[in-house]
Amino acid sequence: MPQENSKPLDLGKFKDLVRQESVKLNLRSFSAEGESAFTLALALSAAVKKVFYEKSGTTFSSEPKLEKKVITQFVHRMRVDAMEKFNAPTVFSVLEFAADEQGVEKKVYMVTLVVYLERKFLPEFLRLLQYPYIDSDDDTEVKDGCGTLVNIIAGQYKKEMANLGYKDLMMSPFESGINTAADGVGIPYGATEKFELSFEVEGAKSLVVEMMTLAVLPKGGPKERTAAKKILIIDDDPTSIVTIAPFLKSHGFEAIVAHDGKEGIARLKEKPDLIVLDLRMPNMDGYEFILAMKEIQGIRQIPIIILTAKAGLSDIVKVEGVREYMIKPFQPDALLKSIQRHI
Amino acid sequence: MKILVVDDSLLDRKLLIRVLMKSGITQEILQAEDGEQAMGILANNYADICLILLDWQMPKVSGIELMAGIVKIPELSKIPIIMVTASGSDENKRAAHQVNPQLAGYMVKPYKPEELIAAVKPFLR
Repeated sequence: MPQENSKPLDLGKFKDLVRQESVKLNLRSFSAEGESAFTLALALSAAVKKVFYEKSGTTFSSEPKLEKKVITQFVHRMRVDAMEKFNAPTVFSVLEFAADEQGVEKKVYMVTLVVYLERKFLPEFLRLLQYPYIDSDDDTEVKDGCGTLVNIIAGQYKKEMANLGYKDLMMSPFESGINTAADGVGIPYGATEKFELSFEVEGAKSLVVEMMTLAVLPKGGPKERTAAKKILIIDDDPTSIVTIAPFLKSHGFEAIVAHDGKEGIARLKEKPDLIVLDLRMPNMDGYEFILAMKEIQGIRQIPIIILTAKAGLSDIVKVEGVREYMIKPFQPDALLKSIQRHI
Repeated sequence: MKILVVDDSLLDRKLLIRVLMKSGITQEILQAEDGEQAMGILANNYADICLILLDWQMPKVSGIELMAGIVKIPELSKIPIIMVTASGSDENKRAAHQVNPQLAGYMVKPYKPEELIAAVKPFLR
């Protein structure tokens, strides 16, 4: 049971204490061999992300050679400061982000990942690449994206890989067709037109892995696809509404708003394509809204994304129409992606 | 009671939370994206938190730094901590145990969901 009477701690003192203790830690002594590969991988991810966050065409172009050059420079420069992690989910998020940000122009964009690794760090790096992630569509754990990348390495360095114990990874995707590789890396929106991966060994000291992904967006691009889609936001919290509605509008959606379930029911006449629904509301709450909506004849099944401040509601997705639920506070980008998945 | 997940990677947090929820855990899950944010949450909610899942490498205040502070504060030192980190070396494990001899667990990413659940379950209230 929560202890209602416990007083909050003095945050200032807490921070001071952590600062004092961290000085005593002498963190450098903790760094281990594997960390070096990890740090490089972090730098890589941060570098790629930085490229995407630079929205201008000057640092991000569809010209492969230029891309490679730009990102390589970033990797060198950002080794120390990088904090983001490189793993399969990160690669997916980077690719998705690229597609979201750049997709409207319907160009072909290229992601180049360059990893410099000393040979002894290869097993650690492969371990990072095999990070499992959970497919949000059917909730199954998958590893194929990273597996493909490992396959590619294995395909080229059979002997070396075998020595490292990766004996079951002897297939080269280049033998089985280039689309296999593209599918495996999970290029967003099912784009599989082109995928290339190459790497080389620089002397005996380092391994260079370059992953070049041509993320070709579907015809129309995300903005055009979503331009006419109508999202009904039902939330009594004005902060949510003022945040979500303009954000969705800026991404080409039409946002209509209701402040409780009753108003939400009234707005169903406007035929929304998707509903973003808060659970706790006055008059008619989210659960009642779903029930009431089901009662209304002729309303087709509209996908619902639940927004809630409460975690632990996994059962809610079993309710008819509910596709996903997000816990407040959430990232607007995450909501956008969720909407794009279900619309 | 609640579980506090501290990890700078949104995707890692998402993954961890999904694993927890899929296993039927009903505890509310609080999230912090670095040690500093975690301090704010802990200061106000410590009495409701039954477990902390803590990443090591984070900006601002790292997991190990945060833990070094937590163990010195009587109100917090009793909250079990499981490190969930990509740093799996023996040296780091030793260091974590040195900082917190009561460390409740040390999970290395990528972890197997069932291993994580097994590590977490004994501490749920």
